[in-house]
Amino acid sequence: MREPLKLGAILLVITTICAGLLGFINNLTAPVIKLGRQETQNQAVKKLLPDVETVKEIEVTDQDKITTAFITYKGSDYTGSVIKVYPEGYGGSIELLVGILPEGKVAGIQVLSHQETPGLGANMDKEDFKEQFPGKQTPIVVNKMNPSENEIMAITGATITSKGVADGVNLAAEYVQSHQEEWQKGDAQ
Amino acid sequence: MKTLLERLKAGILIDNPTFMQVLGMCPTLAVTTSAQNAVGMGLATTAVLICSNTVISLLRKCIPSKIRIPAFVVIIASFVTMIDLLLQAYIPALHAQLGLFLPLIVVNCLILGRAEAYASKNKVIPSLFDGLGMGLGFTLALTTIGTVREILGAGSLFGISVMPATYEPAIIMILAPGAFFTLAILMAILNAIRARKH
Amino acid sequence: MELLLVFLGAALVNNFVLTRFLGICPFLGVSKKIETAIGMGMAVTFVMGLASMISYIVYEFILQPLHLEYLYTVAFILVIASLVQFVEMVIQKTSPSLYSALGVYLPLITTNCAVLGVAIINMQKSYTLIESIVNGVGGAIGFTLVIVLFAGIRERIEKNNILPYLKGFPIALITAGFMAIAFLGFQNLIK
Repeated sequence: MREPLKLGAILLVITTICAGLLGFINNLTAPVIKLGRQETQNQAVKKLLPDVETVKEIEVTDQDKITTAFITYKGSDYTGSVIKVYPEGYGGSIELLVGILPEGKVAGIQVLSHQETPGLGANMDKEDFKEQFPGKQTPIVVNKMNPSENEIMAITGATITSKGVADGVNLAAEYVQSHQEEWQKGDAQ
Repeated sequence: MKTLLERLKAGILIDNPTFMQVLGMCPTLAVTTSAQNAVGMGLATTAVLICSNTVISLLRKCIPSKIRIPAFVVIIASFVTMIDLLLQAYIPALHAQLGLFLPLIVVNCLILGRAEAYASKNKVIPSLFDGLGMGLGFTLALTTIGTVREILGAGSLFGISVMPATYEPAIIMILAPGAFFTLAILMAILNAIRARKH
Repeated sequence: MELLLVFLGAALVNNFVLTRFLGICPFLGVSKKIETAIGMGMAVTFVMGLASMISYIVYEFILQPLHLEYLYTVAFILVIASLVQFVEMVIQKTSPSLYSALGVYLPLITTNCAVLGVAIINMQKSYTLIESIVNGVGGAIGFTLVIVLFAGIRERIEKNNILPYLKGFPIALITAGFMAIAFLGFQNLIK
């Protein structure tokens, strides 16, 4: 009876030491990770809506794929918002920032992170795909051939990724539309 | 000194983890969509191999044989988590690209295999070099596959266009089937080379 | 309906072996005979279902409340190793014939990246307990499907004359490649 206890004890000691070390590393890295994420986020919000004064960050709980909304003001005027949305791509969720202007048009998109295939879906982070979005009216439809007014051209061989991004943009725009009135009044909480 | 060099040679050539031992197949097929990802994965695995081999060799006289496998697993998992956190903090782009396969390094049979076959039975420095050799062999194999897939499938190498503009990339190489075919052809070529030598 | 989508997604659209590249080692190693493939598939299905359930419980009720999320890798692999050990003991006692049939493949399920993989995927996608189990079982059934099909093809290939350099792994991998192409067809099954 003593042997299993002794074996278990040794295993427990090893596990505890390892857990302790990991706790140490975690304390070291957690703030760096958090800071890094915030920096990327802030830069992306600025890129989408450059001419703003104040940014109000609110946690979104009433929409499945949206986690955060950044509502911007210049003085007391509502100047648009940036929505952090997580549409489904090919390899997993895409962390997307969508800028929506006050008049409802898309200001642009920024990709924060993704797990799409390099050479295919990963090309959504290239300028020639992203620059299709500014100025478009939602809902946006993906077209493989010749996109017209409110359509964007899909990435060759990455239709699922392209559709995912478009879905994210449409979801963000819908959310903004349903909340814009209260934001314009400055009643966001 | 001779043992150390011999360990390096074994890992890189004679007992190459990918082409000879056929271990660690999952990351080999999944993370070789580009040369850069392949190198990243290889180096992360090498880091874990060196750390786990060294520590397991250090502790080899303290770990009772009956619980050696769970003990090895805990130690390996801890190093993998360490690398996961460090990459997430300092090289987030690589972390995002490796994705699921970073924590999956834990079940890469190569690492447990080396712990069991070498590190638990040999001294620290040779074990370290064994980890280094096997890791480099793995990295080399992965990079070769990644290079082939990227050049044929995207016309680039490490992100830089290398094929003429008229080259129509064979997207299939970047997708799942391409992984299987590339590995198959490379193995067949190596079989042919080895047969000629004998 | 949601659950059906999770199931189909795990089994076909994002097939664990041919799309996600999880479980390749047993896929290549245990697929020479159809019988062993079936036995392995069933064992893996059982383990993946249970592992999904237990790792969910550990993550929800131990790791998250204690803010120890970063220990998920260590925690999950310990759960899986213990589970496989336990399953091994149970099978040995209740069905010695099954135990000897599976032989050394049973402990190898611990290093099957599909098992750890599905636990991590469940966590990343924030699946509920039921969704996690469905994902685990679905993925395992997809794995079983593929490994049995593969075994069937390999048994046939064994009887043919293959170019010497392609014998063994190369021809197996080429076969897998063609199967992967076939499974690409499932991509648009779920919108």
